Amino acid sequence: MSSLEKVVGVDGDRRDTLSKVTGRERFSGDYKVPGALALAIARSTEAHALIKNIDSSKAQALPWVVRVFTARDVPGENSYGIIPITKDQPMLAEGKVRFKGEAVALVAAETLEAAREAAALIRVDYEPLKASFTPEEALADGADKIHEKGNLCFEHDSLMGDPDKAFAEAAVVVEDTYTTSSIEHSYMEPESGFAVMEDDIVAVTVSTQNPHYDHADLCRLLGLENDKVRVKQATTGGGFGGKLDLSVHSYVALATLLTGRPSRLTYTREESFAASAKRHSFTMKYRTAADAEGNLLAVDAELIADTGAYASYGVAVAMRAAVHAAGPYMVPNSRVYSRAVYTNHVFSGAMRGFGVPQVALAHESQMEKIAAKLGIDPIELRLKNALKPGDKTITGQVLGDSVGIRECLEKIKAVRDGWGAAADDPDCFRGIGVGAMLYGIGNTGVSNPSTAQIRVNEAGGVTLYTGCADIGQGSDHALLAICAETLGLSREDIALVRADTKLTTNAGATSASRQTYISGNAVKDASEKFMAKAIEETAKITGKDIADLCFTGTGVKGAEREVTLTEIAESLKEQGNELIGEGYFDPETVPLDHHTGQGKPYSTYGFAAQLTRVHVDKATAEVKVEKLFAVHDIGKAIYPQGVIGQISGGSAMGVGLALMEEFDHASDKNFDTYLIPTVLDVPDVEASFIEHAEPTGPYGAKGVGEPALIPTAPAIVNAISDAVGVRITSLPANLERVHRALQLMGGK
Amino acid sequence: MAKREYLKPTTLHEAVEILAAAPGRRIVAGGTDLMVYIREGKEAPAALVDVTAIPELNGVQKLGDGALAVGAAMTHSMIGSDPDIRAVAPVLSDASSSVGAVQIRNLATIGGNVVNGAVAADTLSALAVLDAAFLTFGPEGEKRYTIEEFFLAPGKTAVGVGEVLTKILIPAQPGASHAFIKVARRRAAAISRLAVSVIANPDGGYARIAVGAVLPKPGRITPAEEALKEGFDLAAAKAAGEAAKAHVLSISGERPSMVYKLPVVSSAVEKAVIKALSLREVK
Ligand SMILES: Cc1cc2nc3c(=O)[nH]c(=O)nc-3n(C[C@H](O)[C@H](O)[C@H](O)COP(=O)(O)OP(=O)(O)OC[C@H]3O[C@@H](n4cnc5c(N)ncnc54)[C@H](O)[C@@H]3O)c2cc1C
Repeated sequence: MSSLEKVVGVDGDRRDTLSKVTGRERFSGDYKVPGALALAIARSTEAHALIKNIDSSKAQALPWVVRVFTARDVPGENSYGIIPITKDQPMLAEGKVRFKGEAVALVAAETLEAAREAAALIRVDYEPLKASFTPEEALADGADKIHEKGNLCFEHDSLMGDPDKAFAEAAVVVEDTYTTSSIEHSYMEPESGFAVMEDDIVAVTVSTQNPHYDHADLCRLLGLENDKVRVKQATTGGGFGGKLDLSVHSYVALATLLTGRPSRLTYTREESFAASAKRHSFTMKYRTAADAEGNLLAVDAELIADTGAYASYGVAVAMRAAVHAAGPYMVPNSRVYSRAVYTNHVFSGAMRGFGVPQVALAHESQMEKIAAKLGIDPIELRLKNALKPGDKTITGQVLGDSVGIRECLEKIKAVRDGWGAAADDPDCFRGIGVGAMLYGIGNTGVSNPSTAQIRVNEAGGVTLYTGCADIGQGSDHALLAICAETLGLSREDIALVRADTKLTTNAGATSASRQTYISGNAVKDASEKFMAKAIEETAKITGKDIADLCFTGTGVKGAEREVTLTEIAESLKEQGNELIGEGYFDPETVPLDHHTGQGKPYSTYGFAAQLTRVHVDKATAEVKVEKLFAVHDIGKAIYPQGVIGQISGGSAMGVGLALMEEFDHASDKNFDTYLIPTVLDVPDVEASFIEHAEPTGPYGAKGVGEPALIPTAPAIVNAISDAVGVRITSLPANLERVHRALQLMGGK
Repeated sequence: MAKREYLKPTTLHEAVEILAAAPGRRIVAGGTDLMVYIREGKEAPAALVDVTAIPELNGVQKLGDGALAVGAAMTHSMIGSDPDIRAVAPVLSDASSSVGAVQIRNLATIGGNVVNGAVAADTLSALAVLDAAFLTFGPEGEKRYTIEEFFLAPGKTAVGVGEVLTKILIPAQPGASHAFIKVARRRAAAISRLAVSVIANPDGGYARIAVGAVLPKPGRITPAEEALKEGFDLAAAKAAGEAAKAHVLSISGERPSMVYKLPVVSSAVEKAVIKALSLREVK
């Protein structure tokens, strides 16, 4: 069914909509796995300690217990980690523990009750070490080393121009220190998965954002060859970066490999809180200089992030934060020093935005301070400094054509003028605030390719093979749209095989807002190659000229009759060939220089601005976000409803970051005390987008997953400051902090 | 979770017998407090006795003098939408409507809220300003408690083992206006940082003020009430707030959480009074 209609840019129902709203969709924990062993993990009760002895005799002696595993049982290298240079995390603690909640031993039993009871009976003798709970403590003289190499996990320097001279000559210099909190991802589905032996292959079905990375580290941990491990992504109930690390995968794989029996594990919410990655808390010292007209001259930022006990994505977060430290503005001189520091908190990793939501609080607060000092309208100040095509970022990258920040700012300016002054109210203060951002699409300064294939299936139609994990954000739908548009089909005509390491090739992680742009390009490339190959072969079969032939979606026409895809495939097969389109895309990047931080970290950037109006209760300091308008330059909306969905959800997450989320490592065990926004806390988000087509993007697309969240918290904090006249520099802006601001205002 | 017996008597006498028949049996209504404690390992009752099917614990009765007898097993949803309660005790309707979120309110009962006796339980300040009384039934028959008699300490009430709270008695409040304010870290499913209940009747010359979440047990704040009676105007509202703050400080002291709570007691009491008396429009 060749479709004359366009597919890209058009709404339609996602394949998973009905199954999800009716509850028919199967997540890892919903599968029946006959004969599966239940697993439970004994976790460290110490934040930092040497392990003197592990006594599992009582656990082992319990009825129904099959086996207890410790680090000694790990057949391969007992260390993993998503960044190749920092594989520092054991799947089961070896010799020492570095955070409370770290896995020390694994129990496999016939029932979950028995496994849990046994795990509770495992006795570990610890010799406590001095624990560090802040980067300052960890870096202080006399701190106990958390890792052999010391407590500095990673540092990154960036220098452009002559910041000292610029500060000396500036008309205004503003400075402040900003802090943000540790945050739990709070995906609805906790970590979950199961393993079975498929002949001599350990096959793991799991909730994940990154099946091919999982596969590689499982091979490493288990000491198995590539073809002896298979990872299948199950339908995944959210990730937000927290399902990029290994979690249950290694435990089910180990238990199944060593017992030969299927096994399964789903974290309780408490385990998920205790043992999964958190958003890095940051402390950010900023100085920003401008001339008397408000042109930015220089930024000097020192960033320090608590990466917890293991590196996870710490390197990427510290580096990306540094690259984005100046925001979407043209700043000719800059110095940024960024560090990720080990502490004895549960590890911090990737979370929607990789450090950029944190620096956005700082650069957007600094813009407000400059605007106030110079008496310039805050949106005008941003417009004056907003990046344009051809401008240089603080890594010296010359931007291409798709730079929509000005248009975003123009739009929010018009909306703000439309909102007008809010009505006077004796019980509250009202304020309006702006947040703006840029966000590099894809991994920072490294090759991060994606691949895809198109093949003919049994039914004579086409199947798209992609390694890209759809974690609920809708990449399946977007990639199918790109495939359908390119092949001239409708989405329904295309079969999809997704995120299974046996059947699909690496598409890289579903992170860094990269899949629509990078995997989208790989899919487009695959589709084009598939068509070209089909036409070429038809030319051979029919003796026609390639120029006279035309791909129809189900075959090729232009000869006496249409030649079907099946016929073309047969013909190629006879020659030992295959009708396949193999797609590849790797964004063009230049690694960042180790000393100056200069380079081309990303091939394209998303841009956005958001506007909020808040209401601050004079009596109680409660903040209500009354309105939120968001506009994002996404290049091209492949699936407009999906874009709006991402912006709405991201903004909701931004409300949490701004007003209430703060993971207390000592006391937050579950959602009883860890509060995230409810629907009543989030305003109706007026989400919109502009399309500054990216020439290297599939149909012009960039990405939106993380940008969605980034401007929200700064916009809210700036609105609070507009309302009460006092700036809050630490997130979350909770009741206590806003109340303190009200008191300070009263004192003025 | 261990398996345990679940019993559901349909008469009050049966309930009392069942409770007495074996040790470790516990009353459950909505279970929204008790099940959380059981999961946390803080409670491990041998059996659960569900009291929600007992007729005496259900429904609202209008008593002769305009007072109401509210069944202890009524859920917060029922209380929030009951027209008789809304007419007599809107402060309670609002307090119940502020509990948790819809799913919780559909299960959780006022009896559970009261007997659990948490410092931050949302109906307690409302019941204090309503001068509510509590009826129980147990092996020794029926008992009646005033609010002072009923609440002993945080999490501790006068209801004995084997006793069932049957009804909450709410006197008529002719001519009075009411207000309830809850302050929490988010707009649903959040524990009160502070709650304020106010009933005021300038013509009758009385005012009743109570706060939740900042005092060890519910009770009225007489100095604040006295201050409000001075004029029932904006100045008196402010004075009532200040008096409430002084009272809370004298009882609860300067704990770290009080840095926020103490000044807000004063401004929130003032605001609740303004709202109750419509001294100005409050949203
Ligand atoms: C997510 C969540 C949010 C919540 N939010 C709030 C909130 O905003 N405000 C608030 O105040 N509370 C809140 N709670 C607490 C709880 O919902 C309330 O206290 C509720 O009213 C308890 O009622 P229940 O029927 O569930 O009590 P249960 O858990 O069934 O019982 C609680 C206690 O009372 C005893 N009991 C119950 N009924 C009787 C009776 N008739 N006679 C004698 N003893 C009895 C039980 O034995 C038990 O000790 C929340 C709880 C949850 C889980």
